[in-house]
Amino acid sequence: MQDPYEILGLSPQADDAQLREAYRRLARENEGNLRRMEKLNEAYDSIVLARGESCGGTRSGTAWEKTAPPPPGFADIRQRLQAGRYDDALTLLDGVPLPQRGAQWHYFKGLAQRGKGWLEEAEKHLCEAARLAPENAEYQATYQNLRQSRQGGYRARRAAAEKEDDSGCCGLCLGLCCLDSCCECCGGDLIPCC
Amino acid sequence: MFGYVRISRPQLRCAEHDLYRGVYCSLCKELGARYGPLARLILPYDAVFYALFALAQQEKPPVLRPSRCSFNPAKRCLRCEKRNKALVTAADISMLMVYYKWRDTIADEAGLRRLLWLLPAPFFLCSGRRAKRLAPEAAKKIKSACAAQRIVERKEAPCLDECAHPSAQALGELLAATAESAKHAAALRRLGYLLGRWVYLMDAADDLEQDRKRGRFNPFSAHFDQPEAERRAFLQAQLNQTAEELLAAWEAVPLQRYRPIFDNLFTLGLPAMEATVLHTTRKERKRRAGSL
Repeated sequence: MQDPYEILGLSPQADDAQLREAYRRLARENEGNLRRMEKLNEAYDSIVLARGESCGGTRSGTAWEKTAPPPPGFADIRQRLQAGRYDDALTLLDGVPLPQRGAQWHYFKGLAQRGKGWLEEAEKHLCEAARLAPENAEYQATYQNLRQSRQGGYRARRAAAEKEDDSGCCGLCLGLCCLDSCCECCGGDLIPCC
Repeated sequence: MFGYVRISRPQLRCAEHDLYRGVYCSLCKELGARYGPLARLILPYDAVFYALFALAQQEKPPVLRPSRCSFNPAKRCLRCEKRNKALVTAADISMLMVYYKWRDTIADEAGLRRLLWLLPAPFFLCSGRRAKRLAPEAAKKIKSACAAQRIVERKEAPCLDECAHPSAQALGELLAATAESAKHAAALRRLGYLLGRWVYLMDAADDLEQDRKRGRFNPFSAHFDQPEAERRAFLQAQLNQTAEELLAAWEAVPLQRYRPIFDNLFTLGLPAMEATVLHTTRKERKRRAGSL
């Protein structure tokens, strides 16, 4: 996904009023262009959502970056992860002070490393996240998936799919046999040889 | 380092196999035309993958015509009709890779082995220089990857990801360069990165025994003293995880044609190669290849 600020032609420092203004102007210009509008809406929504999260739910017109401390929710990091900017996300994560590095920090770090292709580090951080927050279903599911893939998950799935195909064939034969028996009961014969 | 990215032949349809062979033959000819007949001997399967991948990205399908192998005129094969950009680039890249690999070997080896490797120096130096002139972009990528690899190997205890990063990144950039439009480049880069990582891990797993004996660098050196079964399970887990991410990345890659060949390569060829490398030694493989 493209950077939402880039789509709206803004810098990330723009305040909410500028954001609304830019969105309205672009929306007027691209009124007939559905695809472009969809992109604009998506970009606007993602920024508003991210700002809402980082400001604790209030969408006031003040400059949000000054009022909001960065860590709660890691909204800006989540946003960069969604945009596929993994190196940026890693830089931000490295800037988080040590005492604030909880389960969520490890989770995001794991996702960013995974996106970058550093799978061994990703495994370590996702494991740590799952260990620190055993009640969080998202972290647990991600870690379980990863563990399965380490044990050759895709091969197991392929094997299972092939087995299903086989049983499909057996099912067909069985069905034909049954049909034949039924026909014979009524005096007919579907398969003459048996 | 070469030859890990291969199709699984028994599972490939005949027409697709003919095509694969055709690209192989065309690439062989291209190498001969650009770097002389000696260069034909270096043709690695990875370069065939690269050529086929670049062909699959192009707008127009290549035209292959029946022809004969110039080494063995009794053998028939398909060959690309015109000079194709994909084949030319693949030839340059394979020459560059062999050249840098050779330089690495020269730097690593000592004594008699080094002398033996120095014998073909005129060929490598000449064609390496030529390749650098003909494909400066690719040369820059591969050279910087080699330099980064050397730096990582000198570190005290580099993590596995760090070790695999330079070669993975280089292959990512090389695959991204085949993209016809810029919007597909990211998907190709991701696929290339993971494939490069997989190849690096395979190479490291393959060299494990040799590196242990000679005391050379290996990213798995922390596992040298583990029991065989445990070590194998660890290597397999690493390869599995990379392969799984690779398959996910593969699904997002747009191609104009040849999807079944790559499906075969990624879902069957790579696991088959993993099994070969993890469960047989190099010597056994050579003996088997000789008996065929």
